[in-house]
Amino acid sequence: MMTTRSTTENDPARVFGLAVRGPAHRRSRRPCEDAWRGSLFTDGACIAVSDGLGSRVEAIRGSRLAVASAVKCFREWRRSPGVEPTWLLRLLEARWRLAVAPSRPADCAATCLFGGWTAATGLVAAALGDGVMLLCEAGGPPRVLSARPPDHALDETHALGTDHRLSDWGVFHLRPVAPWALVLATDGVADDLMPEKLATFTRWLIEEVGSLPPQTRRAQLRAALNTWPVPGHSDDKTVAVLLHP
Amino acid sequence: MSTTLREFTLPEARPLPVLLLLDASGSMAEHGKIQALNSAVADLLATLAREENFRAAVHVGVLAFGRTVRAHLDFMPVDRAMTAWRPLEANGGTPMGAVFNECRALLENQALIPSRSYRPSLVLVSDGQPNDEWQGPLAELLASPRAAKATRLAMGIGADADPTMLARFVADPEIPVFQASQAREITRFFRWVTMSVVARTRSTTPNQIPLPSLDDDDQIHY
Repeated sequence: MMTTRSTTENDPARVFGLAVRGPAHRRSRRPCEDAWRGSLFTDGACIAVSDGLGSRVEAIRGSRLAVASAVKCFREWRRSPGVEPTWLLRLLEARWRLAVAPSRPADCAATCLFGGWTAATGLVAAALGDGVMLLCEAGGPPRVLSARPPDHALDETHALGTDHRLSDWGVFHLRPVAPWALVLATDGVADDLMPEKLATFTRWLIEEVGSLPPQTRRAQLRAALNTWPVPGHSDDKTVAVLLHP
Repeated sequence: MSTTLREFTLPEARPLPVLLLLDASGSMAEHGKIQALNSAVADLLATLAREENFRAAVHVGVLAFGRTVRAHLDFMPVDRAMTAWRPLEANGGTPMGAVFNECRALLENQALIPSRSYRPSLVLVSDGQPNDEWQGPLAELLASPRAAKATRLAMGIGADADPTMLARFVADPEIPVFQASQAREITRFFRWVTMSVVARTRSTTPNQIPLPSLDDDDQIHY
């Protein structure tokens, strides 16, 4: 799924993104276990990406409900000025648990990275688990808000539906300098990026892909993610971008 | 689009680290054991280097323990490791505790084993009893996040090997400790190790694949 829309002229923002099946799921004829969601409202926008943990039986459901819950919770939270973003995370944790019921949360475990913005609230970005969250401000190089911790054990991630604490979320409440862009990617993309070339990645995504007409953009992005050049790559791949203006 | 994906993506598949902890104590010089071990390691490197269509890039390192504990072969891609490999010489004691400490430090080295790596395979081979304090270092190794997630295999050579200690290293009742009574069985164990690594590298889920059976070691071609 991919969308691209703008908010009102006064608060222009655009979102786009895409999730594609990786070679492993294509070979096994399983659906994509990643998901993304982008939403524009009258006063802002929100994007989310999620990676359903591969070993979990309902990972697909978990990831789809993770992105839907993230967007829905941000929409609700923005209507309550002054409430700390940690309450947004509590709301998201609870809503996701209710949404996956009657399934066991552990069977639906999924990472969750999202970012939402309104002129009133500023940008709130939060991440639980693997993947990367990059913020580009005023045409400058990307700043890594969240990425796999370098001391993390291999193949270990926090996720909704696994044991974790609220403090395991990385959460950022910012007022970025325009023009800015928030880029989210699941680990199928994030793990294969050269750390010293993140600026090339964001420039490609924001300036080259982001400037294309929606239909062309969708095709180009799908083609790029489906022809990922890293030898032996197998994961599903997802990116989402929130551009302002 | 003018930018190509290769400009910002890594050129190598996700690494699959294979770390060999090899006994090079003086007793390994008896009954052709060190020669058999050297030959088996060379075969393992050659077979893994020949393997094509890997979904993971096998990186191999060798820690030898005898008179000293040393990186006999630095961590490197298996094709380079095959070229760099030099036979071990047997001398000294069996400082198992020291090699466990060295193993833990190596696994935690982000420059050698980046976080995108698959879970490592650790292989321990010994023909004797440890002659240093090993229980604390082993406990620390097994408690370290990366070693805890590793596939750990072990072989005891001859009657003097300590199967209890080796079983504690493996720490998985589903995985047997291989007992070699003769030098040629060292080769068989390494074929099994090779097969387990090959199976992982061919899998779409290298972190989750079960070990092949020890009886399946003829399925691999040398």
